[in-house]
Amino acid sequence: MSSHGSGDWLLLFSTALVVIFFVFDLVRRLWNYPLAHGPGFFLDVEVAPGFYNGEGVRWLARYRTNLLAAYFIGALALTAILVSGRWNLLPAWAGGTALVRTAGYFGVIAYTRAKLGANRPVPTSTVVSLETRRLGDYISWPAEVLMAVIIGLNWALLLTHGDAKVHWKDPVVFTYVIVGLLPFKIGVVRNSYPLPAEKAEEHYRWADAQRRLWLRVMDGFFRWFSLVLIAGYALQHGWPAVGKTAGLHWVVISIAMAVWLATVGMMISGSGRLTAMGRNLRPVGSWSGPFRQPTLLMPGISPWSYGAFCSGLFLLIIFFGR
Amino acid sequence: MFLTVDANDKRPLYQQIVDGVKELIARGDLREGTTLPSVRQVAGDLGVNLNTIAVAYRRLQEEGFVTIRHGASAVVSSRRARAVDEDELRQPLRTALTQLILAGKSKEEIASAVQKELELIHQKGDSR
Repeated sequence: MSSHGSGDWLLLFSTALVVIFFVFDLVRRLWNYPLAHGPGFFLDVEVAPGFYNGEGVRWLARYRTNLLAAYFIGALALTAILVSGRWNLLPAWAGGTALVRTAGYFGVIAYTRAKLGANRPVPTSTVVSLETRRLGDYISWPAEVLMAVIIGLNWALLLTHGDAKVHWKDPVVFTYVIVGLLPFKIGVVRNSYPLPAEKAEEHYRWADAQRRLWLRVMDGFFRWFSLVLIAGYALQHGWPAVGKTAGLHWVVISIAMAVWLATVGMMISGSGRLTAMGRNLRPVGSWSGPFRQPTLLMPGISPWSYGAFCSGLFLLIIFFGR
Repeated sequence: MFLTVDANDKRPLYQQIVDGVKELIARGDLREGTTLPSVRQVAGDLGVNLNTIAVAYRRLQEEGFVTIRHGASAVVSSRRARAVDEDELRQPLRTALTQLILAGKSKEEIASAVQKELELIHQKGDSR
């Protein structure tokens, strides 16, 4: 292990944060996720009273077995990487695990809808909001410009003063995450789902709150976090005077940690508020609009844009990992 | 502010949107200068073709209720329709009254229904 540099320790630190997040998500959310909308639903499919005393037990057991299997595979791969000392594979592990989780999530929802929710109610009427949703209401353009400037400065520093130890994978991947998230965020703002006529306003407010929470969480977990890492990397390899400063990587780690923890805190409080807001609402996907089926993912999240973003990230990691 | 559309309604979808927006303007919920969501947003939310919403907005523009600038959103321009012939204005009322008569409603029942609808529109507008 002594042959590992501070960049590798940063990698390990980031991976530890990802692991903490995955475990937290499993315990707090995923384990009882099918029951999130009460005993009247399995995921977003309406079930008959008494479902969880009979058939529902098997459905729940199957769901949890799949979940644990996915986590077990991830844990096995992580252990192999750590034991073999090939820490350069950690980003590929994080990306791959995220993809497996997402694919598993889609798979479970699609299977449940096909088997349990084949006859979803289709109300004849639907409601549309006349409130305008502008990108500027959701995305802070000054923050986007600030990010672009910081990335530009970091790249300029690395290109003009980068030392021989620069591995371009790190700046390229971080830049991809920071820049590539913008089109994904635009997709999030633009997407929506048909509103039911009953409690339309509450459904709309809930979807809007969720859209905003997702955007903030994405910014915190991916963009600001990556920005701190790319800035730390550029300073370390492009500014010799600063790069040799003892404990620089710990400063970077501390800032990244602060960003991470702030995002986790925001996610927990935001999720709590969303749960409270949606307590008396029908889960999205438990009905079909008269003109449109609800999307596979949460409202506001386009599966295609999410898939494209993750696939791009995965390909980059594979390309540079060769 | 919400607009309800019904797949079982005999009116085409674009007409339901036109009528819905006009009702909101009549009630005073949509005031002059209010920006309506883009055609893309409404079409996406409902899951219908862009053209359907574009036709509805164009119809509203033709009737003088909204102004659409190229590349910009539609803005509510007036609470009153463009100057139209009194007879043209009464035509939909005449059609509705005819339907009520054919449904077997008495003169008093029709008058009462019209009065109620009128009050409802004013009430919704006042209660904002």
